[in-house]
Amino acid sequence: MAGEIAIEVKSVTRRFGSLTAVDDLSFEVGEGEIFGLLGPNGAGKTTTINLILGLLTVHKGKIQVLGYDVASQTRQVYRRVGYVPQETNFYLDLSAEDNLWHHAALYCQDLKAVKNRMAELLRFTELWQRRKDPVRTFSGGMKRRLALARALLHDPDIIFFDEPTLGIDVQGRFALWEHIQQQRVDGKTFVISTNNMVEADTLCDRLLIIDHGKAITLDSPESLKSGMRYDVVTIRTSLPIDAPETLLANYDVQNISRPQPDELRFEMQNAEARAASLIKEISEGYQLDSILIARPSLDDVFLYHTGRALRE
Amino acid sequence: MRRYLLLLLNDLKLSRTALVVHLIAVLQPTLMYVLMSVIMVIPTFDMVVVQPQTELGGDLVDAMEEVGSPIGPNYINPILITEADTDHRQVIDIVYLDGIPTAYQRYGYIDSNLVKNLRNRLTAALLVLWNRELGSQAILVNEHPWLPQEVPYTVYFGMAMIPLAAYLASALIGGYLMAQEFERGTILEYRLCPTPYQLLLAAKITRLLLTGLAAAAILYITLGVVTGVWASSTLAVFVILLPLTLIAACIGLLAGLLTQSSLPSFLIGLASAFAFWLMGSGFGLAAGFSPVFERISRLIPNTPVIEMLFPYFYFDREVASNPTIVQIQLTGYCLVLLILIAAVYRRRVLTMQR
Repeated sequence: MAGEIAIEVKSVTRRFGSLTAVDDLSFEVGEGEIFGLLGPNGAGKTTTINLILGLLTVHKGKIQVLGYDVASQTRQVYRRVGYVPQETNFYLDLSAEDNLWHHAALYCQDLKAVKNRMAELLRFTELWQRRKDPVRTFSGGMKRRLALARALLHDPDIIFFDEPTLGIDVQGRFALWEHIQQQRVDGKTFVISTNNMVEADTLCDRLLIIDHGKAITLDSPESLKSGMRYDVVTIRTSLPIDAPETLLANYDVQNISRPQPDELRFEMQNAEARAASLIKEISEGYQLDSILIARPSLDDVFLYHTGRALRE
Repeated sequence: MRRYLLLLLNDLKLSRTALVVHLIAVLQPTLMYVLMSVIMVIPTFDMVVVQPQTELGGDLVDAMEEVGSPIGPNYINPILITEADTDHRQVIDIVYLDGIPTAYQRYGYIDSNLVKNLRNRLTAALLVLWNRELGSQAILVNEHPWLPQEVPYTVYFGMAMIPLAAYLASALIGGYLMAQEFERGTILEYRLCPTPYQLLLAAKITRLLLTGLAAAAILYITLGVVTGVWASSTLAVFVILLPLTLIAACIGLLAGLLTQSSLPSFLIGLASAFAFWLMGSGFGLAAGFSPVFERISRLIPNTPVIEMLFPYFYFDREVASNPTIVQIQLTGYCLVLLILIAAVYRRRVLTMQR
C-alpha cells in the first residue's frame, strides 16, 4: 500500500434483514492507489462502496475517509470524494456543459475556478467538441467519460468508480483506463468496483476479492496470480487420451477438464520444469500435437477463490 | 449568493427536460379561460320577445336595448317574434291585463342560472322603463347595488382562475421534476453534495415561485386583453399570489419526494390544483353554496387569496371576512409546509438508509 491511509474500513458489518451483505470486512486504501473491489454479482461490492460513502448505515464497525468518520463527519467527506455510480445518471436533455455546471453548483467550493477546470476536464476526457450537445446523443463510453469528468470537477481526493467500463466498447474501455491512470499520476485515489478481470488486472494496484460480504484475499494482481503456485497446462493429441488421471498420476495435477475431445486441460505445479518428462510420457502412447503452459490468469485466481457456481 | 443563483439557474434549465409538462402546467389555465370565455360566458343575452302590440310594449323593448354592460355590448338583445312562433323556450310577451301593461315571461326550468339571468335582465329593463315613463307618479325604484357596476362573468371567472394558474404551474412542475430526480438517479448528486440542503430547497422553491407567477402573469395579461379590465394594482395581485404559489411549490415537492414517481406526482399536482380552485371560492363568491361548503372553503388557501384579490379587480370593494386572520392563516400554511418539506427532504434524500 502506497502513502498515507485514505480509507480505513474496520470490522464493518451490514445486514439487510436476515442477509448479511457485508460481514466483518476490514481493509485499508492508500493515498494515490487504484484499489479494486473484485467479486461476483451480489458479493457486496456496491454495498461496500455505499457504506464508505455513508449512503448506508454501518451496523457494526467503523469507516474513516481521509481521517473523517463517515457516520458523523459526512459533509467533510463529501467535499473530498467523487462518485461515479454504476447507472449513469445525467440530465439527458441538457448539454454536457450544463450537467457539469449543475454538479459545480452542488459541489464546487470555488465557483470562479469552475469554468477553467471544466474546460480542462472536457478536453482531458475528449468531450470538448461535444460539450454543447445533449447528453442523450452520447455513446455509452462518452457518458462514462463525462461521468468521470463530473466526478473530478470539484477536485476530490478519492474517486469511487462502480463498474467503470460496463457495457463499453474496447476503444472506450482503453480510453477510460488511460484517463484513470493519468489522474492517479496526479495523486488521485481510486476505488473501483468491478467484475471485469482484465480491468482489474490492468488498472488496479491492489485487489480485494470479496464474496458473500467477506474479504477473501487482498493483494496486488501479480502477487495474487503468483500465489496460485501452479500453471495451467493444455495439451492437444491426435486421439483423445483415454484415462488422463492414470496417465498424469505421477505429476500431482488437479482440476483436469476436457474442453474439446482431443484437448486436455489441468493445473500442475512447476509445469515448465517438468514439461520434458510430461511430453515424453504422453508421446509414448499418443501423438502429441501441442502443449501450452500458461501462468494462471486473474480469472483463474478469481474462480479459485469464489468457485464456479453461478451467482444471481 | 452566487451559488444560490447558479442553483436557481440550473433548476430553470431543467425545464428543458420536461417541456410538455411545462407547457401544460403554465398555459393550461389560460387556454381554459380563453375557451370558457368564448363558449360559456355570454355577455350579451339574446331574448325572444313577442312583437309588442302596444306603445308601452314598444317602450319596454327599447328599454331592453338600452340596458348595457360595463364591457360594452348590450345586456339584452331582443329578438322580436310573432305569436305564431312556438319553438322558443324563453319568451317575453307584453299584454294588457285588466288595463295594466304586464310583461309575461315564459320559461322552462332547464337551466336555473339561465332563468335567473333572464329574470335579472328583464327586471333591469323594466326598472329602466318604469323610471323613465312613470317616475314618481307610480312606483319609484331606488337601486342599491352591492357593486358600483355590473361585473362581467368573464372578469370574475378570470380573476378566480389566476390563483389556479399560479398553483397549477408551481405544484405540478414541482412534483414532476422532483420525482424525475429519483427516476433518473440524479437525486444521488443531491444526496452526496456538501452544500447545505436548505440552500438547495430554497433554489428549487424560488424556481417554482417564478414559474407559478409567470403562469399567473400570462393569464392576467390574457384577462386584461379579453375583458379590458386590469387590476388597480398589478404589484398587489402578485404579492397576494406569492404565499399560495409557495404553498403549491411545497405540496408539489412533497408529492415528488413521497411518491418518487412522476406520474402520481403530476396527478397529485393536477388534482389538488383543481380541487382547491373549485372548493376555494373559485365559484363560492358567485354562487353561494351550503354552510358546510363555506366552512370547508375557508380552510382552502385559495379562498383568502381570492378574497384579497377581489378589491383590486372590483372597485376596491372589500370582501375578506377578516384580513388579519386571512394573512395569519396563509403565513401559517407556508410555515408548516416549509418545515414539513425540510423534514421530508432530510428523510427521503439525506438520511442514511438504515
